[in-house]
Amino acid sequence: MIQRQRRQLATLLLIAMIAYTGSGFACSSSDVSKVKKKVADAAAILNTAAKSNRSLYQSGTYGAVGSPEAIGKRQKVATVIHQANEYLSLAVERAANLQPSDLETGKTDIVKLLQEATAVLGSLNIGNENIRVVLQSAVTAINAAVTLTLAIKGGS
Amino acid sequence: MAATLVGVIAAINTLTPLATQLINQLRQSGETDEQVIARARALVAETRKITEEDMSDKA
Repeated sequence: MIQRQRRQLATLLLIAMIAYTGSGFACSSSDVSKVKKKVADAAAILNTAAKSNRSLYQSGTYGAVGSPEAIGKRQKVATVIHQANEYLSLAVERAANLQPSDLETGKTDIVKLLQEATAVLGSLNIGNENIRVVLQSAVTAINAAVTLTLAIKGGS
Repeated sequence: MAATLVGVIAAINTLTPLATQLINQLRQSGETDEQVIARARALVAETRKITEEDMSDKA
């Protein structure tokens, strides 16, 4: 009885995982649209990192809220996220003007900007494991967006 | 019985965020290019606002 229920749960989880993994590829769209979506995904990731930085400060993870040490750490993290976000802003504007005729050039420009963003994010270490994981996750996710953007082939 | 209950709760905990994310992705997959860019611009603007506030000296 329990074994059967476990099997059903495992099947349910497997279906959910397959549906989740496949959802990124489920809907066909033009290559230009795909690139734009990847840039928007990167913007969402960085937005989450900025919110996480604030949450970590407010929860006292950086030290007592209001203390110079905690504010200093929050500022350092906010600064690198801000710089990365400015690169991303340029990538968004480049994506906004992207046309099928300049897909390859546009992809190169966008990938370069996303890589600049990840380089900035990866340059900071304030000795806090939580924010290190948040920033590393953002770098990993943006790198995934870079890989997927590079994998998009023109023509469809 | 208890083990089954724990298993069901664990499955719900696992599936709820996945389902939410899946629904969001499906909803976003219907976006036009203009909507995607508008969403990206809004996210960038919000991130800029948050980081500018957090770069300041205020507590």
